[in-house]
Amino acid sequence: MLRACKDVILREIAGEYILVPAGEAALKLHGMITVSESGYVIWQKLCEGDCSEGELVKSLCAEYEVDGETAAADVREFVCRLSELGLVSEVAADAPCEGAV
Amino acid sequence: MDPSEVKYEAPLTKHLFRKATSRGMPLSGTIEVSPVCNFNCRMCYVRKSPQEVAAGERRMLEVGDRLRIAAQARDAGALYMLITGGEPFLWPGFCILYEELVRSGFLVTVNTNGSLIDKDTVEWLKKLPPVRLNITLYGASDETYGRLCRSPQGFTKTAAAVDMLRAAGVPVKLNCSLTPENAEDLEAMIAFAGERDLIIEVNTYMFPPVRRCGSGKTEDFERFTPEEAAYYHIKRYRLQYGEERYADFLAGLRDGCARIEGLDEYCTDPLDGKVSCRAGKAAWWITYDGLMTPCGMIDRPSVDITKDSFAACWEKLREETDKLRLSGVCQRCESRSVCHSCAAMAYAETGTTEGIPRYLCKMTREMQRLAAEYLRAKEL
Repeated sequence: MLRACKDVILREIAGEYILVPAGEAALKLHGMITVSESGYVIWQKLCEGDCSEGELVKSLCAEYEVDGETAAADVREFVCRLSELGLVSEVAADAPCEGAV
Repeated sequence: MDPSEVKYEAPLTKHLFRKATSRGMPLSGTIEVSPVCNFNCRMCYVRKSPQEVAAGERRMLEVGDRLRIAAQARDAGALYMLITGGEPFLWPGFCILYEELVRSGFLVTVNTNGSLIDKDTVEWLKKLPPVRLNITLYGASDETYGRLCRSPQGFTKTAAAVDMLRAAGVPVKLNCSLTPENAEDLEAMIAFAGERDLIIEVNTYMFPPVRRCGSGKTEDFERFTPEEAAYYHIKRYRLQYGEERYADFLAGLRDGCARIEGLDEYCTDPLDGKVSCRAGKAAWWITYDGLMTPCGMIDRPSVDITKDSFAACWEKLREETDKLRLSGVCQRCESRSVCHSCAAMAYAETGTTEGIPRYLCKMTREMQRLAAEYLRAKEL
């Protein structure tokens, strides 16, 4: 399962979707990053709770007229890039939520 | 150190400012939390004692006021937020405001003298780091801090804070306001920054303190003569960037095509008679007592944010800023691309944005004279 870093806030500024680090993520990220419209959809889905790559592909297909193969490639690329930045991580399916007691 | 680092803006930031300026969006804001400071610098444009604040005609904004303003600014598209003072770490509401701003998705920078930052503060900042802390360096010894800031242990405390912040990975930039009281420390301050691999921005031009004394009043204000400001402006460049770049810089000054970095990180030189920096177009400033202005160096135009919503005040400020005009003489001046005068400087120096800030004329002429003299001696 994939989990979004809780210290990142998605904002729409002047028509751009931007991920703003708010917390220790800022020490790694040093700034902000823009995401595309499909990235916006993927991030929104991740923020709803942990999910699999397959679920992300499904939500992308539901939002846009795009075939499964293209959507899967988009999701893979997005997840890879954000994983490198430490903004998305792989967790076990039954892993407790961050901050849960 | 590379000169471009001092004013570096990421391409995304530039892109956002271009879009915000064309759309009239309040992308970048400054919240001045308090004019009260534990230092008492001779050239400060804003400092007041708690007693002076209490006796003022307008009340100081509370934490709740600022949280409301920030939330409304966020809704209007604000992203960059600078917290300044006085000394922000002295203001009791600072932690609440800072945490809320960072957690709600602002990119927060803080201006501070650094002297109140201890181990616990560093640990707190590590958990919720700012984009950057801008620490003003006033000298390289406690003696200088005592003389200029009336804070006899100021340097020791500030240096300790800088080192703790660096060790914790919290981004720090140094700002230096050079005056007759600390000019002899220039080399040592640049070395201090170099030893720590920190960017230092040295400014030798000091705004007349409009907000303390009124505009156009430059008497009884301790700053360099224009000629001294020019001399130290050139000297600091040589110390910071080395001989080769220094010669290029001087050639640019002599030939009238050197771009002097502005005094505010969002300023650019005016070109069309109107204010063409981001002030009042994509940037705003809220004073400690609730006035929205385009820039903290001037006291008007201003809109009372305690009387209306952020969005309404911003629209009014934009309209008023658009009416400001600069001197036609400045627009046509052959040293335009070397001089860094702006609307705020013209207003602070002369009492009107349309005035000619002669101090800057003299400073620019002297820089060009010094450049030509040096290059002639070197046969360059």
